[in-house]
Amino acid sequence: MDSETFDPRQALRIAAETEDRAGRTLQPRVALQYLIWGTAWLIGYGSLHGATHNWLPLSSSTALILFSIVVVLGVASSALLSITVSRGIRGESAFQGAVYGWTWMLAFAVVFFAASRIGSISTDQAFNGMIINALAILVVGMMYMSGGALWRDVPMLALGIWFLLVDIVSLIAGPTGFITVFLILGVGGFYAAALVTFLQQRRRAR
Amino acid sequence: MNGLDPVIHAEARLRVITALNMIGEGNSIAFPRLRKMLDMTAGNLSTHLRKLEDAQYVTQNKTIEGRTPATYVSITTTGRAAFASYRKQLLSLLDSEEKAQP
Repeated sequence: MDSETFDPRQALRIAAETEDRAGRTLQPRVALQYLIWGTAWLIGYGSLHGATHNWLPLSSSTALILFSIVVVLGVASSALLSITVSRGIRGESAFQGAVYGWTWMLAFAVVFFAASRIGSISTDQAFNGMIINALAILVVGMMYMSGGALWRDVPMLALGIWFLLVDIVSLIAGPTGFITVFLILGVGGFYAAALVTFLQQRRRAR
Repeated sequence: MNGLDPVIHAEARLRVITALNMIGEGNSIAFPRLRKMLDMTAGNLSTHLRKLEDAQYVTQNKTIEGRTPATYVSITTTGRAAFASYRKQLLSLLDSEEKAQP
């Protein structure tokens, strides 16, 4: 019907409902991504910790493979969740999102090559692991900080700052302690950010 | 009449323009995704989009993606302004309605 008239109250309700619905389908599910990554780190750093501190029947190379598998799964899930949100959208936001996504990929390509170089000059595996890990977390922290600035997402900004600080702590803790630092403070950071972001989105939806 | 913009003050078009306003002026959305988001039929959405386009509240851009034609829709500056003043009017109508009641 075209000439339908409805009262202002109803119109406001319809506008609010539409905004909710559009917001839900347009927003990347950030809280879910944090939850996935927190769990990936729990499994990854957990198995590395278990292997090096002998509470899991794993060799350190098996633990490292397990760590790599969960990281790859994490990357795949993040990419999938982000692509789903941006499908069919063009313009400024899509450009920002695409540049942000490719920056992650390119930065991690650099970390990957640096890791193989570091591995070829020193045979001290624990020390190499600490340095490579510190490099990777430097990228993660900076990406979350710039994401926070890009989307005015305060919890994301806070998570980025947290990871950079935890990165410093892990270097102070040294080759024997950095895995413990990430298992507790890193996983904790992701879960805390997931909870804060989830509560924030739920409050906004009301 | 209550003086509300008749282009916007119809349920389907209100929903369309609200969604496009959320997506923002610098962005456009593919027709199928908008249709899914609003849960409208293609014919219905097209009709209302044309009316909004006639009022210059939205623009429709036809392109070729790969080999298939695609339509991208976005809100215009005029559309944003009209939507903002429509909402303001709605709120002031409700306000005066409340004051009129004892």
